[in-house]
Amino acid sequence: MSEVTTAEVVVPRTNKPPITQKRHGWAVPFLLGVGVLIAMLASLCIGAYPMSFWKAARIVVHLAWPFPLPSNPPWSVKEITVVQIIRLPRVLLATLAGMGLGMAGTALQGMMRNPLVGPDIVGVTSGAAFGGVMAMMFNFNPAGIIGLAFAFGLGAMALTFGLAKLARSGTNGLALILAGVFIGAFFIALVGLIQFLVPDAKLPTMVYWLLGTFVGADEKKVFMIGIPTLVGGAVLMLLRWRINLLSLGDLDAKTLGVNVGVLRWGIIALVSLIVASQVAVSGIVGWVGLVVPHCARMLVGPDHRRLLPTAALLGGLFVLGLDDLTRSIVKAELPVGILTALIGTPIVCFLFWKTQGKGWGRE
Amino acid sequence: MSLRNPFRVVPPCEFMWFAPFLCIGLMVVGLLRPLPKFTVPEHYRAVVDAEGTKVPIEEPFRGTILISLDAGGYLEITKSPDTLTYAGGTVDRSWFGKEFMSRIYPQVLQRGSLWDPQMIRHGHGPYAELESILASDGGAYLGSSGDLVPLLRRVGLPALYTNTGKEKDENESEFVWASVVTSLIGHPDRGAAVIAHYQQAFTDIASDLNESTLPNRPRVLVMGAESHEKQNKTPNIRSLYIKSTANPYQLYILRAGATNASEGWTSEQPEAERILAMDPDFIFLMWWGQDPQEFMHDPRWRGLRAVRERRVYRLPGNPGGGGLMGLIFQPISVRWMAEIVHPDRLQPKTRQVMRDTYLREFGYRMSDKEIDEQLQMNVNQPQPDYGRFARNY
Repeated sequence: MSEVTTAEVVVPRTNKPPITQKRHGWAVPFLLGVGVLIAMLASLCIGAYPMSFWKAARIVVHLAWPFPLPSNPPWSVKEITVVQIIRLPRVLLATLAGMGLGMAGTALQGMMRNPLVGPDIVGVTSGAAFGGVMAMMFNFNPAGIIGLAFAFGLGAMALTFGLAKLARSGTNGLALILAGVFIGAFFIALVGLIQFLVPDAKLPTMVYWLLGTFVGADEKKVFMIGIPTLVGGAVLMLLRWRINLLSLGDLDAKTLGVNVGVLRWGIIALVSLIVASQVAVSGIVGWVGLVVPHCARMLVGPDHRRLLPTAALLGGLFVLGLDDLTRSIVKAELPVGILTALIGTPIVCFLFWKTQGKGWGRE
Repeated sequence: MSLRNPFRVVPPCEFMWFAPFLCIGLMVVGLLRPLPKFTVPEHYRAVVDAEGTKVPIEEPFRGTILISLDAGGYLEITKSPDTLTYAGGTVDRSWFGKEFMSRIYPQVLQRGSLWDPQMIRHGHGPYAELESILASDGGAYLGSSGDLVPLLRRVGLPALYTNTGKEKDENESEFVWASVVTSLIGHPDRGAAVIAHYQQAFTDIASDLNESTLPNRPRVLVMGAESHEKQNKTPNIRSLYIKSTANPYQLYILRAGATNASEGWTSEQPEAERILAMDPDFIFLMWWGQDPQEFMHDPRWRGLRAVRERRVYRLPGNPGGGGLMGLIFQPISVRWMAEIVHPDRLQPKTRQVMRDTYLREFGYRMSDKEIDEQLQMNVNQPQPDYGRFARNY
């Protein structure tokens, strides 16, 4: 039997010649990668302390450079303090959150072959939020918060799948979305109960956190989200061509030698971990996991070998850009979750209107 | 790509996908680098803060940066506006403008460099104002218990605690604050003088009251009530408020020869029934809320003894600013309260005490109009025995 390449099983784009994909083979990753890095450096210049782009860039390069810092650096102690303690953690937090949500949404949509699926729709975000607030109520340490958020996020996803299976229409379509909405609503109600029970002193912080915010970012939070996102994301990246096979359908994937059950649960666990870590450090940042995969698909097509990293980079850019906006448009630090919802919902409506009548693979 | 060997080397352009992730990973790891440290200055003096930590303060002293502290409170104790380098953001400036201290030290309100319009203060994280604070150039950072002081100390900046939150009562907290702040500016004698005057003032009140021979101690309730206008504008606002377990007024009430009618009550948001059950002899409303006439006309309170006898007063202070609190003004508030609850025991001295205090402490001559404002004459005068506080009594 000859080798089956994924190029032969990808749904051909009838309007574009195959050569188009090769021509844009390096341009998109190059531009996106450079764009994300420039956006991160530019974000380091936003704040009350005056800082030039080049100074911020030099400080970051020297921090990331795995060699000792120069003994007579061209920056002051205050400048490196501002970058290392205040701004860089926040910029990294926002970028990693966006990347994680972008990858999670793309993996879920590919796995479930459903473009209306995202971490918030299937209940992962609500479950993780419930785990997070419960951990806060009992004063758990950061590892405990992530652990509980992960456990409840995974539990919520499992419940969603289980409920969808009871409807006998498997994991596609309306049954899955409805199940996700019910489970999500259930956990949001539990979050409300926790808010009612928690002492008054903790309530404002909890409410503000639930709205989705990167305020108070520090190196601990960066590691709390960075390790699961980068490690979990790396594993998802390694599995991305298998997600291509899953998107063909269970029977076809099994025929091609994929262990569908194990792969599906593996992806669910990875997505839950990534989303739980994001919710644990920054609350509910919704709509990113739903909107970004669609935008990425419009850019590079449905092949997950390009789609997954594109979604990660676009997600990082999207959330970072919105966080910069929250820090600059008003003086009150608007929670970023509000902006992602305000901007995400019209985008989804537009995409829904634009792709009406078209199939899943024809974006 | 073969199903059997998913890890075969990928084309070079695929590597471009991973380059940004690698850079981000390196930046994350870069946060592990040891934090930069400010070096200890060559010439310094050590100042002990509320925690007992000796903090090196550069000489000559370059000024104080306040972290979430009230500029008015700082000026009250130090009387030294020139030592202030950074006082807060726009909201803090607006608040200071409503306080009486802004009339005594108008230059602080007018000096734009002390107030950062970019500063965001919303109480949702320690870093909201850190950048503004770092952008200021001062000698020392003053803060109360919170996250910013440890963070500043981590990078070697001279940050002092004015309180630890573990002081046994309001008195001790105020004494510690005065000692730390005046030591910082190099005038610990000022803190000692304020404390000495404070203790003397209460000795005088106790002597005038002759507490041991008091026939009774009236039951007093200090509470807040929002005006109807504000309640109409903000329907969900909590309209009633009692200072409960952490009640600084507890000291006032006892020293004024009264007892606290809300003693033992722990929640700050009572229902009206709770207040009816307390049934105090005197009610003192917070200086920012309802006036006594509006309160007494509320049908819920008709049955209260204090309302029937019209013993409802508004506490002294600025309606838009703060009350008469703190080491310097507390004795005035206590004397005022004592004169109301024991009018037969005390001569009407509050006006004179207020005038003398402002002159002694700040060199400021209060006008009769200003004293009337502070004593809330416009709203309290209709009440019984309040004529003693009038200028022509």
